[in-house]
Amino acid sequence: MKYMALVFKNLLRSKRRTFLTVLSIAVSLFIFSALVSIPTVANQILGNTASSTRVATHNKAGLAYSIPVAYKQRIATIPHVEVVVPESWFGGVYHEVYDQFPNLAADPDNVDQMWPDWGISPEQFEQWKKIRTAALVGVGTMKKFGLHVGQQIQLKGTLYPFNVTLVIVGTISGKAPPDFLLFRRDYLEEAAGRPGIVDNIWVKVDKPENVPQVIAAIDEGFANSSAETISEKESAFIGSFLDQYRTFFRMAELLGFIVVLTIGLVAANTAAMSIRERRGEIAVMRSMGFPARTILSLLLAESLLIGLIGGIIGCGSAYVVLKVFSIGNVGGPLGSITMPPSILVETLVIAALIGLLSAMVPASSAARRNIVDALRTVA
Amino acid sequence: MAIPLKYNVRSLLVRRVSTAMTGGGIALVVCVFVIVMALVAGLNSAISDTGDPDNVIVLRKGATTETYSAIQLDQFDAMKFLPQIRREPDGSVDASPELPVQALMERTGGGRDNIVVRGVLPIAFKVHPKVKIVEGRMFNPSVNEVVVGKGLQGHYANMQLGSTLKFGRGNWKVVGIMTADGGSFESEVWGDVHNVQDDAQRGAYYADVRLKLAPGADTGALIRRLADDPRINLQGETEADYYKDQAVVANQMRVLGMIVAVIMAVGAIFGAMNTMYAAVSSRTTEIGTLRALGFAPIAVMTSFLLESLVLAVAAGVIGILLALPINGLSTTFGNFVTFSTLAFSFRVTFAIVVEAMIFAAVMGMVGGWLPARQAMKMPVVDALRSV
Repeated sequence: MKYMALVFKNLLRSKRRTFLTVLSIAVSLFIFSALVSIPTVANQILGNTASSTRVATHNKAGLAYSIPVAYKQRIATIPHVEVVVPESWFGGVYHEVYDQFPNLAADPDNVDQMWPDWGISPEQFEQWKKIRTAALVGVGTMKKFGLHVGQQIQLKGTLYPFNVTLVIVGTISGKAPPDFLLFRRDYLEEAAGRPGIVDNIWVKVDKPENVPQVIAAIDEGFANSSAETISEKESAFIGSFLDQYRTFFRMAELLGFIVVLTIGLVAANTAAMSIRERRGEIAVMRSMGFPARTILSLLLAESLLIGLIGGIIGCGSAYVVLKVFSIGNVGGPLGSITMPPSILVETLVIAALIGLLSAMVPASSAARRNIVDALRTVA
Repeated sequence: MAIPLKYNVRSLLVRRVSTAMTGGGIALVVCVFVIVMALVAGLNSAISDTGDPDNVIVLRKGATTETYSAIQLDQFDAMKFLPQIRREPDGSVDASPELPVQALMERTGGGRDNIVVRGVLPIAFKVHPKVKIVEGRMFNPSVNEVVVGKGLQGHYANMQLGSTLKFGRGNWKVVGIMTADGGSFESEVWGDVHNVQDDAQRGAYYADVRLKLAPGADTGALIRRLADDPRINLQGETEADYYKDQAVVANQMRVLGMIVAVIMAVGAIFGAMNTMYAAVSSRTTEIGTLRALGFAPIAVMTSFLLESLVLAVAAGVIGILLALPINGLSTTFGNFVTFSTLAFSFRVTFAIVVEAMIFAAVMGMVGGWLPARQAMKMPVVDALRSV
């Protein structure tokens, strides 16, 4: 520790070089930590919203296939099933086409029991049950469009050939997805001419351990019918949608890896340059009696500091930027990325490693160099 | 007089390790740039090459994609007789009613994706002339047969000629393989429209209609007629415009890729600056000598700038070579607009290569500017005196 002053002095000797190296590492780790945060959005969404007792039942054939709403009654009779809520995707547009956010219609009863983690107050739920055109809106959507409770909004139908006019009766917060709107399926059903089909049916099971049994009972019950079903835990259901982004996620990881390689090169180069210039004085220190080990640790400490400072600046600013963006909620489903603490730690570890490894080779060779040779070379 | 370029190249070679590391950094940045742009170019061409300049796509008013559209039989019958639509010599009208649905298909590596299954009539192959059956034959409408796009092969199970594909509620025999000049139809499965309607329990309606314009027909008049005729009352759009809107995914990727590349470039520029500053300070005596020999300050600056430029451009070439193997690599991408999966190939185009070289050169110039200026500003006497 008594050598810390020396380390700092050395760092400040070539201020410009230290500054450039720190900035270079900071910039690279900024982009690295932002990139590797992207794939974690899947886990974040799942961790935030998925409940272990909710099951989604949908048609086995794919997105374009629906299931009869009559399945509701049959599912409700299965043991361990507490609540059943059929739901349909409306896919409406509020303003611009590419401003889309998920908007769905669900059977009005039991919404509070199905999603107790959505923070719907009893008064809001009263309103929701009373008003046929009621809508519950996620905090993100409210903020994005500057909406307020009591406001009337119109969603243009894209999937359905009509528009719906809704009254916002409450905000969904808590563990619900922030970008979201839910309205009453009886309203949609009437406007659509009572087709009697839904996109999926949410099932709440009494205990997590009974979930596999309920899933099996539902899917076996509808096997060989005209609409066979797949039932999945909420996490698997949402996960299958996020799976579409996997090329995007792999790409982000690949880029992150290349970024680390790049800074590794830049940092190694700088370390080599700064140590090469100091060969003479290292030899002087050795001849004064400093052991090679001390000199090596001094050089490594210096490089480690550069790496860590760069890392802190880099991932710190990435954390702030993502936080700000996530609050502003721009850019659809990927807009709400925040940096998990594990990535902060990972980035700092990488920063430390870059600092240490980049100086390892030149520092150890400088520290072990023959003193007489080193003293003789004129820097 | 200019200092010969040979001086710079040799100087770079003397500092081999440092040159290699600085160049390596720049090369990797260029490599990232090329990979991202190749992905964007591949996506873009897969989406926008699907459109045909002579085609008009007809959707329900307000619908933004085929997925969200529905057209009734009587609407289709009414539009069939519009004069702007091309007719085949046998008198049939080049109007192709289509019904794309998303069906879950198994990936070869496990897991499932939504793939577009497009119900069509035989006329579709006339309206989309880019779509060609390259192996096998056309499907027979009276049985469950399909033709699959070549792009799906290798990524999804049971896509070979003669195999049985399970999707929706039935089993479908693969009787043909089709290509579409790299367009998104290559990531689709085509079957008879009535079979698809049946399977998806869609009732007797279509999602959209593709019209082939007659030679010299007025597109604007056709689109107005489609909208204003009370029996039709639909929204028409040229395929070029339609697919431009669908390519929004590619544009989002482009923005992301540019941000990453530019930020990385800033990092690499700092690295290059470091190297060039070191180069300038270690060659102080040389600079003094050059000046004493009569080379103008601007010649010294140009020389160092050129040195940085040579390094960056050489690194750029290496970066492009590093990224080149990705050309033609085929992958799949979830399209968030249509909720379906698109198979496409990375495309390293000539334009991307040129852009990458310019990008590398800019990094070299920016990184070399300040150090080169320092070299120019050095007083001759002081420079000569430094040992």
